[in-house]
Amino acid sequence: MTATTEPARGPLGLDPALLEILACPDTHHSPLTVDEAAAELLCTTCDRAFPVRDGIPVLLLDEARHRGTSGA
Amino acid sequence: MAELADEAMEAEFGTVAAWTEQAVRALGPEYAVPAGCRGSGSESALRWLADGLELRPDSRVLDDGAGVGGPAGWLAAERGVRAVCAEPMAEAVRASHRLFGLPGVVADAQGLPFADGAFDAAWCLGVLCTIPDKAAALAELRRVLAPGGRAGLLVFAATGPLTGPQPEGNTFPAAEELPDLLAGAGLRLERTGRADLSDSPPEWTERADAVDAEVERRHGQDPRWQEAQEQSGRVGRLLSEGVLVPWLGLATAR
Repeated sequence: MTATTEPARGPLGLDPALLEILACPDTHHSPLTVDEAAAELLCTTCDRAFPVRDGIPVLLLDEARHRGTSGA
Repeated sequence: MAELADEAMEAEFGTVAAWTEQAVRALGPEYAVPAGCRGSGSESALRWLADGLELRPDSRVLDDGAGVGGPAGWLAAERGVRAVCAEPMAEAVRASHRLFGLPGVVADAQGLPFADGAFDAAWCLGVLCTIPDKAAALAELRRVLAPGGRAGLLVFAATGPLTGPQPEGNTFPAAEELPDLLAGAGLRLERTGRADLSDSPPEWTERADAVDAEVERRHGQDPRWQEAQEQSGRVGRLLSEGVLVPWLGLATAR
């Protein structure tokens, strides 16, 4: 309504400029990669997967899924 | 979200956020900014902070604790800068996304999901009192700012002992401890001020009241609305007694 420019849409409907700066909320703050099929953002250091719900990343440690034994 | 586990906080910032969005949709887009700015300062306070953030058209800005996005929506309309909205309540982030078209993430201020130095400026309006570990939240705010980046704060700060019923889930920092808290986080305090919370255009107050009335009409019997009203009433009483003050600060990331 009051936005000055229409946001660009990247994978999972996310703004590419936003994706570029997103990081894991854990203290290592590593970059995230997009898993489009699972609609998740994956940490490149730890084994957390963060859900993207209704086009909004939920980047809370206690709502992350642990992917398993790989990673830290 | 252990730090926001209190039902009162959930009601105030979660459920009511969704109801506010619903009421704004019923009334019209011009109601979105005034309703969304309730509890985050007046227009004059936003102007004072926005001026101090020294924004350029291409500034990367964070709204830390954005609620339903009222102040960020105002910033987009007034200054042409689209802030990223970070907020722990998913309902509120969805509202900011749908009402203002702003990018948003569900996030905890004590562990921000952004790379170091990702922003040129940030503001944090009326939310420090809802965060248990204020030093950690300020350190995170500093971390995501580029060196020399600006931070604007509106803090409900205590000037003395608080009496009477307190808003649940809130801990108010003392006004005199704020400079040290900021310094400890690596934020150099440049200017301080006091917000005049009533200093908004008359139509803001009218529209915010109309949205409240619409939510009341739809959900007035819901205990969560009554709880949220009780919460904001308690903050209002402490402010009117002067034991809480709306402290404004502008700081630079060292």
